Amino acid sequence: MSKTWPKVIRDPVHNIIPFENTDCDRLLLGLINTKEFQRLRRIKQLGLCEMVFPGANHSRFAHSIGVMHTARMFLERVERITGRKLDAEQQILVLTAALLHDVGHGPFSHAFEKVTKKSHEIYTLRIIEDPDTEVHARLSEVDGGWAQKLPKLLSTFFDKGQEDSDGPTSADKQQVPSYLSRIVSSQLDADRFDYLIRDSHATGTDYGNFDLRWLVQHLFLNEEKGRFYLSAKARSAAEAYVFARYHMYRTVYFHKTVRAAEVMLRLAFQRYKELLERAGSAETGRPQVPDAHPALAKAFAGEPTLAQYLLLDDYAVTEFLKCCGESTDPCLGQLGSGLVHRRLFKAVDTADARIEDLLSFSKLAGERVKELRLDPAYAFVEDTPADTPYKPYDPEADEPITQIYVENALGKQVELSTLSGAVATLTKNYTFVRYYFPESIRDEIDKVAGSTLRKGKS
Amino acid sequence: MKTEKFRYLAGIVAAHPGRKVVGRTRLQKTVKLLQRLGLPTDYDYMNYFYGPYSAGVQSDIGLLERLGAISEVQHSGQDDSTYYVIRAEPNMDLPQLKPFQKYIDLMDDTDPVVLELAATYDSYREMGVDHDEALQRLRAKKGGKCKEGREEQALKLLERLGLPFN
Repeated sequence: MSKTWPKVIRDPVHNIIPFENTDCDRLLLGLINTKEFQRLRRIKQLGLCEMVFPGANHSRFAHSIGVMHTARMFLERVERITGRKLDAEQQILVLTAALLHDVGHGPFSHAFEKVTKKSHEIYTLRIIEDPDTEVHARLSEVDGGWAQKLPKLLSTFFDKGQEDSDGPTSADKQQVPSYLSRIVSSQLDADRFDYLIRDSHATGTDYGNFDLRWLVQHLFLNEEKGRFYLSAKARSAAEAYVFARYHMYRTVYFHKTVRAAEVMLRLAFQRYKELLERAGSAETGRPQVPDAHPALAKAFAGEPTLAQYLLLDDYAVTEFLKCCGESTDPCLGQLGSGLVHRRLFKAVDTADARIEDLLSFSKLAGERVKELRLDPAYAFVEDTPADTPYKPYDPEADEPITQIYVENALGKQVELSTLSGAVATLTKNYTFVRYYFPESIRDEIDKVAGSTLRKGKS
Repeated sequence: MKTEKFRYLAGIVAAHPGRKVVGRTRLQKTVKLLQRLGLPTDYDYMNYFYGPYSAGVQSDIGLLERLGAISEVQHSGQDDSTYYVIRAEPNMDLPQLKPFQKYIDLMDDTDPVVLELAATYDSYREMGVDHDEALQRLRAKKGGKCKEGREEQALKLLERLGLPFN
């Protein structure tokens, strides 16, 4: 590393991301240079979205640095509005958490979580807490008496209460002011701010854009409640931000063809796992895809060690898919080569169907697929993407999540969906059903759709 | 097929008195325990802050609403909080649920916190944990909710359902 300061990263979203010669920034750069963090260069932020949006090749590496930079904007704002300098330890904690929030992601993230049956947050916790990782080593080098505590304190940012995590205790949680953890994880956090703008920029869609700087400039702190709120001047920007998320889900993340590729990837993983299980072990099953990365076979056959998990990235999975194309198993072969050469499944969209018609279509089309001597598990597949663009307070949700508070005309801080009718419309789950199938049976499925879903429609 | 799964979900709502379920948590835990009792759905559950939770169930509630099979109405509770009443349309009865009706009635008649405790304890037993450890984990996770006889009521409910309770 060059000895001149500041170090600067040029970024397409934030332009200049500087690092000064401070304890905090030296730690952040040290973490960026760990092999676990460098692995994020090889994991695309948007997975298979590039099948539709060719520019969507940005990595989780760039996003993670962007989140860290955005979190710094929050911290600078906190210092301005409170007139107090934040503790160096608190700064390190928030910026490190922001930087590392995605370090546990596997290749093609969400599809791979179904293989390991572990969320990426679990792996993030493991990477931070495992004494054998470079991330843990860097964290342990922090000056002062709190180096021992730092991994545990960081884990408070990533704990979702999962039963199988060796997560933080409530005492650990009390050491981190809640508004600080909300900078990294809430409905108004540095993660969402960065990914919406970055994904929008990379996909060439303007839907995800919103006025980031205006929002940060109008951010205030309710210290008593331990949460941020926006001044009344930021109401429109807050609405635009929530709508940006909604539109990105609708047009990019849930795009029909993007989901086709994701369904095929999921099926390829499922098929490979099934073949390995039939063969009895990763070793005996490997001949089905002889050149697959050994760590990948281990991940499919059972729980991989952390070291094995960290060997996996998008390149390993892409190579695996190429090998699948050569597999002796025709189903795996079709899925692998289909993904490599973009011969993707076709879809029937049932968004506006009635339940009776949907059930009838599903039954009849499934039977037709069987008559065509295809396995419906791999040739007629349901997909139900779902997202709630904005979540009001719900004591029955899976986890507590912070709402967005905005000042109303009387200066009272109120929850955004109670102030904005437009946002209130986005508090429902946005979901629908699509059916995917190989192009070779498109005419057959269309016929069934014509007699069920589309009957009587002009 | 998933369509069958969410058809079952609509049927479960319809099988409740008044064709309605008060509270998402109640529905989540009811489906979880019914699956343990042989309901042929395969919703994945993970243990979060409030015990076993299935994103799939929550997502399918939204889907069923969009398909006109159920409605989910938000109500205001205390302190900014909300709760949901999920109601099934009249044509959502499902004869295949008849063998489960007595369990549904039993759970519907149970306090929601007791039901939450029962589903959480049972999730530990399902993982292969013995009674003592399951209770220990339950108390660590649920704290005060286990008090005032609710833990005992949860175990009693499990006994009546024929699930592990000791």
